[in-house]
Amino acid sequence: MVKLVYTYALGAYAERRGGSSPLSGTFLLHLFMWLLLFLSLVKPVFAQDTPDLYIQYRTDYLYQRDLYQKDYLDYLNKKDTYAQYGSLTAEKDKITSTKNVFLSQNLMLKNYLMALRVTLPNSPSHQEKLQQWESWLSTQNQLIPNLNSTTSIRTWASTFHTQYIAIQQQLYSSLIQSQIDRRLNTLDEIKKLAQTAGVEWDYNFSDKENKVKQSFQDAIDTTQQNQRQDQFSDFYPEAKEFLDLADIYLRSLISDLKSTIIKNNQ
Amino acid sequence: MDEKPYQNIDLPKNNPLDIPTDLIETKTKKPLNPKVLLIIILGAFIFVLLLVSLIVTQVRKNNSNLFPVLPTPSPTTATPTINDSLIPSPYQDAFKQLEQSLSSDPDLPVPQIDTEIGL
Repeated sequence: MVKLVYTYALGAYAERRGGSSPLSGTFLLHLFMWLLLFLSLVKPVFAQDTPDLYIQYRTDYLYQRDLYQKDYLDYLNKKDTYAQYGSLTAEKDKITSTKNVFLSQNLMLKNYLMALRVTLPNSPSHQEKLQQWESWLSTQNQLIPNLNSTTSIRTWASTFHTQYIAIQQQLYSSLIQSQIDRRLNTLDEIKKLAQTAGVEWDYNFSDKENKVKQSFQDAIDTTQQNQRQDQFSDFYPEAKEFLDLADIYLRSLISDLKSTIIKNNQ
Repeated sequence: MDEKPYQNIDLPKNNPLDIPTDLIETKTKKPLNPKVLLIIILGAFIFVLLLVSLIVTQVRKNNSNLFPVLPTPSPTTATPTINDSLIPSPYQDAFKQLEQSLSSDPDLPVPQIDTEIGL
């Protein structure tokens, strides 16, 4: 009520001065209030957190994967039509659908690599290599629209076929590193908890810690296999066995720590 | 130059069709060289082994479960089950978080593509 009287009074004052001014008291008051409101609502913009980015990239990847599957089915249809009729129109349709499936395939792979990259904040070398492949895929997507004949498409597909072996090697190596990083984080958390509870780590758990780390090293060693030139030899199942073994040791560590804490508090 | 007279084939000693009986007997009675015998035995043994290996290979091809492959047991460390209520309350949440972090792998399926497209 007081404000209203004040506002009207200011208006009357302005009227007395000979008309309303753009810088009248009412206007300034409104401006000040809106400024306060704006400052109270606006928050500083920070870089997105890794989990948010991961969720975003993962969603993009899954969406792109659906598109790839759709384009792939279309490609198969056009390929069959061309094989059946062999007409010029059918060939043109086949070339178009092949280009579409290449584009969606590269986007899908790029989105996967991006999602994988943000799970590796502690492995800059993996991040860098993944980023290089992301750039390569982007560059390829700029070239693909220029492929206008079956021969040029075959040449590109052949090049991709060779490069994809290296992409897969990097992809699975990074995937394994990401899983190792996550487990290392868990190991650190176990150690912190032991420290908080006043349990001596070296005396009780260093043996199992070494076994966990050895399993990680064995998993990394599997990624160093030499690849054949024409085919990717999948080392992930072998590495996964070592990661599972590390999980067993980590669970055992947690269990041991529980027992020790219970015993110390009795 | 004197002409060589033809041999008289009617003479018993020079008749090629008339093989003396004592000569035949000595040939049949001659024992085999032990080295040759050894080689024959070894050859027969190798032949039998070859036959057996061929049969076994064929049987294995037809029935792959002839020698069932048992899964290699994975090394396990026995983890005793501990009643969580015994853990002091300040640490219970921390242990729950640790167990959750172990059981949660990021759900990011690896892309599968057809690398024969366009070839």
